[in-house]
Formats: sequence, C-alpha cells, structure tokens
Amino acid sequence: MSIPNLMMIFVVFVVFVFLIVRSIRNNKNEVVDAQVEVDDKTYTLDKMIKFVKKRLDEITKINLYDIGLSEEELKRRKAKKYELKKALKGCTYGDVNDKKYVKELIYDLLSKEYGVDETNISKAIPFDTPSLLSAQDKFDILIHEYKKTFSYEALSELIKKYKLDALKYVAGETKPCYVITSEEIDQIFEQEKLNLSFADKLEVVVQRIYQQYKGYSSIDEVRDMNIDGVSGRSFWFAREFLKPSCSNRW
Amino acid sequence: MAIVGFWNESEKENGQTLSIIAIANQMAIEHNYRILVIDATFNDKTIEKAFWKTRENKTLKQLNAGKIDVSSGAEGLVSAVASNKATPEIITNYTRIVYKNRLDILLGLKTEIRAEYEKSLMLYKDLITAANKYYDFILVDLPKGYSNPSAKALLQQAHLVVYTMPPNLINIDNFIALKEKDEIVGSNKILPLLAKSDETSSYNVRNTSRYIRERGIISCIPYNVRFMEATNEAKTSGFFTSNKLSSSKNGESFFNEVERTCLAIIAKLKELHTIQ
Repeated sequence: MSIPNLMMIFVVFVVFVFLIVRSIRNNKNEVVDAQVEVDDKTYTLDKMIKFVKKRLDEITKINLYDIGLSEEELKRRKAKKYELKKALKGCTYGDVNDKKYVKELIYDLLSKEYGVDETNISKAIPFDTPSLLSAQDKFDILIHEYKKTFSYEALSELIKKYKLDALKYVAGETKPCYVITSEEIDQIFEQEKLNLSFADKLEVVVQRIYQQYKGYSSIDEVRDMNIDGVSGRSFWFAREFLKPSCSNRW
Repeated sequence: MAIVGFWNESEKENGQTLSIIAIANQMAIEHNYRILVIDATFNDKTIEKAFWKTRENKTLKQLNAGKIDVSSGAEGLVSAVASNKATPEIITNYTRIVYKNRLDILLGLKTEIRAEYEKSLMLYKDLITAANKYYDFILVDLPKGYSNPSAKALLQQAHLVVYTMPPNLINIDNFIALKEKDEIVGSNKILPLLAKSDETSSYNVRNTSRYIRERGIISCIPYNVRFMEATNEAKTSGFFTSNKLSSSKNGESFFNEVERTCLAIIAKLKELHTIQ
C-alpha cells in the first residue's frame, strides 16, 4: 500500500472519529439544554407552549434508525410515531379523540419533564388568587368542572342552571340581547366555590396550551360541546368575553 | 381469548409475580399461544428486572440524547385508552417482546404517586378488553389485596383467578376463610397455587392440598435457587430455553411442576368454557 493511500485512510479515520466525538458532545449539550432552566418566567403559559412545541417536534422527528432497535421493536416504535403524527394532524381538524391523545401527551410532558407541580402551577393561571383570574380563566375552570359531570352537555347545563339564556339589557345597548357577561361568569364562579386538585389545575392549563397551540383558540372547548354551533362574528359572547382572535364560523 | 388474573388477598410478599414469570415462559415455549403479561402492580419492577437489564451510558443512547420518544409502556397505552385509540394492534406497540409472536410484556406504570397510579389503573379494564381480542392468553399481575377498587373490577373481569399463596399457615388459613365468605374466592373461577413450595416442608403441595380440602393435588411453583437468580439477573428467558436441555434433578422437577400448573390453567379454562 502506497504512502498517499495510507495517509488518505488516516485522514478519513480521523475525520470519522472527529464527527462521532462532535455528535456525542453536541448531544450531551442537548441533555443539559433539556434540563429546564428555572426562573420567574419558566412556568408562564408562553414558556410552556414553547417547550411543548419543541418537545413534540423532537418526538416526531426522532430518527429511530439511530437507536439500534431490533426489527420488531423498530416496527412498533414507527407505528407509535405514526400514531402521534396522525393525532397531531387529526386534532387540527377537530377530532375529539385525537385532541384527547395530544392533551394526554402534553399533560405528561408538563408533569414529568417540565416539572410543573402544586407550587408553580399558579404562575401559569393564578388559581390560588381568584381575584387575579380573568373571566376566561374562570370560564375555563367552570367548563372543566362541569365537563367532569356532564361531559359534552357541560355548557348547556351551565346555561340552564344559571338561566344564562335569558334576554337581557346590557349597558350601552338600546335593545335587549342574548349575552353572557363577564360579571355573570364572576358571580357563577363565586357561587360554585370550586375546590381544584392539582390534576384539575394541570388539566385546565393543558387545555389552555392545547387551544393556543393546536386547537381553535378560545372557542376550542365550546366547539366540542353538544350545541348547534359557534359563530365568532355574531356571537358577542365569544367576541367580547373571550378573545378577539376567534372569527371562525361553524 | 382468556384473561387470567394472579392475586392474593394479603399485601405481603407471596411469590405471585415470580409465578407469573415462570408460567408465562413455560406457556410461550411449550404451548402454541400468544401471551401478554400485564404488570398492574404499583411501583414494582420485578417483571422488568427478570427479563431486561437497565442499560446506562451506551454510545447509541448518547447519540440520541436530548431527543425523547413517544411515551412507552403502560403510560403511553393508558393515554391511548383514554382517547379511545386502544385497538388490539396498537396495544402491541406499547409492549416489550420476550419471544416474538409468543410472549409480550406490558410493563407497569412508572409513577411513584399512588393517586396517579390508581387513576391510570381505572383504564386497565378497557385496555385488557382490547388486548383480549389480539392475544390468546392475558396474564395479569394484579395489585394484592382489596384496597384498590380498580383491582376488584379487574378481578371480576378475569375469566380465571389464580390465588397464589406461599407455604405459610397464616396464608393457607386465610384462603380457607376467604373461600367461605368471599364472592370471588368462593367462586368456581379460582385456582389455588402454592408458590415457592418445597417438598421437604410440612406445607408441601400434597399436605396443603389435603389441608385446604381440594380434590387432587393443587398447582405449585417450586422454590428453585437457579430460577430466583435468573430473575434477579435478567436471565429468565435464557434459564427457560437453555436449562431445559441440561436440567438437573432439582431443575427437572421445577420444570415439571411449572408445566403441570400450565396444564391445570388450560384445563380449568376449558372447564369454564373460556377456551376450546
């Protein structure tokens, strides 16, 4: 074997070793990155959404061929990955089962990886200080609690129980209208005197993250209920009380 | 096809999990059945440690560090069940293979929080129903005792309940008492099993059968040091596949008894018309 050939082999070998070492070092850095840096804003909704987006992206893009699995194991892991990809796609079309699946995954990511617990969950939504809860927070909590008992009839039951479908006059309007005001939601929230467990709080946070990340924003839960429909433009409730971003017509 | 639960009323150590491991291996190797073992216990890694070593700091793992996979094992499957996605085919994706197309294992929940475990266990009934469409035998390592309401539901769901008891007078007397007063233990779907039995003990399988007034000799899983070691060293499948060829006298009687137990389970299920 000639000297240039030997040199070439040596160079290829050195480059190969260098690439392997660099890859391992980079991934080691990623492990450090994966440990959540805790500061004042870590447990805010925005940071959590960013984390969930990043993690779900990683899960769906993981290269299973790199892990060194057996043929059968690879087949099963591929099927699981496909199932998740299908759910992530399906939930954007409003599939309730896909939505549940994605929410379960977000719940696991937040509780097991991100370290959300009883002490820090109130940084996302101030459950411990009801005076700081917005009307949307209160409505989300009410719907979550009613959903546990009435499932997809939760909104109907809430409206029926507190007679929210009555025609009423609102300040600044000359004609009476069908409306649910934020004051009414405040009153209902006070009357209900809900006692939320950590799991309940996390489920409310998960729903909020889901609806901003994959769902239909503020109408996401309302849309799933057994109701005739949701209209963002003519439905004052959605426009004023929830968020101005909802303009979907169903 | 058939759901077999392994259970004991006492929450103390009684050889229940080791009995499942032995029976599952024997059935998978000697009988042409597709078996799924479900670990429904809380915070117990006996089944996992019997088959797999925990590997740390491997190069391949380092190459994939920082990237996570879809949650595996029971956690992942519970999410699938909760979102109505638990088809029989999906269940296999969350299990670990011991013998291809013969023996799969669904490892237990990793959580160490009791409330979380109990919440997830409520979904096991649906999970087992879906798995039953795909597997011939489902062996469930049930949580011991009656403290868990979901465990009672799983007991009622099982076609056959194997009541495992160690060669211990208190446990044996407890079984006799339960036969009189407990609805499930007193029913026809109970199969008593003497775990960790020893021929030299006063409570050997013959004496115990006579004491509990069972017709014939009850099933048993004898105490075997090599088997115990294999379950500690993640060599269980190797123990069953290689030791069969060159077994000692002691080993031979162990395998014979495990086989007799497997045949008793199959016979009982035929008697109950669960299998043909």
